[in-house]
Amino acid sequence: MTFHKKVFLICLGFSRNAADAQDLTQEVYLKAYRNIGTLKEVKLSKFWLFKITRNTCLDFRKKHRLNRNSSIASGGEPADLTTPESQMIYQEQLRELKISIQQLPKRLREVFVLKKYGDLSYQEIAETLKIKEGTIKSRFGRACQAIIAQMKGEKDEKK
Amino acid sequence: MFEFDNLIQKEKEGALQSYREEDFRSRLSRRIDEESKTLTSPIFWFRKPVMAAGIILLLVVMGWIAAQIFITSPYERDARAIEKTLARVFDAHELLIGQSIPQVEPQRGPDNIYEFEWSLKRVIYSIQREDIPDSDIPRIFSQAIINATRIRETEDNGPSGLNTERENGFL
Repeated sequence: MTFHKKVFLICLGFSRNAADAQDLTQEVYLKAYRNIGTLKEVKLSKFWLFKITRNTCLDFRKKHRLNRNSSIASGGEPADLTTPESQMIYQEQLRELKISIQQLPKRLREVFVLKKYGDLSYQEIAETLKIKEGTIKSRFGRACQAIIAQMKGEKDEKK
Repeated sequence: MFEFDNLIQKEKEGALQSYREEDFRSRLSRRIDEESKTLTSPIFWFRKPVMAAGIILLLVVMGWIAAQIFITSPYERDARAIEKTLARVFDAHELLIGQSIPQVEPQRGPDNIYEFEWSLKRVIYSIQREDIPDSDIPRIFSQAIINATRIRETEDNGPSGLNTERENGFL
């Protein structure tokens, strides 16, 4: 997978939909272009770019808070969703998931998104965020539990 | 865990389907081109940072000139006050002459300095020490001159004359 696709997926995790994620990806690369002088070592460019991605997405979120009426269309439906009903269920579940992610505390959310959307290893996340690997693991575990609890709570509410 | 893993996977797949790599590249290079054009003009003096630095420098110079013209230093203020004061002192002196009050004659004190000069110096010291407002300075100087005149008269009339120094308490 190309680098910018990875950046795009991380942006997708932080944002509401694919359109926002595309704009964010552009913004990330523009910022990287503007701040290329701050890159100290070329071998660390990957982590430097992820750090810019994370900062840009967090800034974006401050400006555009997600609520229940936000558009969560992913931009393209998965191939296996053939019926309108399955598409509707998928959209509803996705909205719940997005809201759960957005409601996570910032330090749990960033770990969760980098891991689940960016497919980064614990070591890569630790390097990007300059935090110990053990802390990353524990934060990721807490983030998963919080999301499961949140989504379960949503389901129970609907029943 | 599995439930949201599956959901995230589907979301990623859907988003990647709509992701146009060519669009991304062309849009990015267009934006970078635009940005680099605004940052670097072919003419050195029209480059944004150069223009900004020039404007700041111009403002600083203009501010400095304005400060020189409009803001007076404390010394200049003092000089103006003394100038004003002395003008009034001489007016008062002329008035005394007009009223046929005998003119103060220079009189040498113990340190071979004129008493009149001493009295003016003492006034200046008290003005500096007491931080007296400018508006009071002419009055104090006038008083010093009148006192000097009276001392002269007293000396002429003998030791029973008026001791203005003690009476006025200025000096």
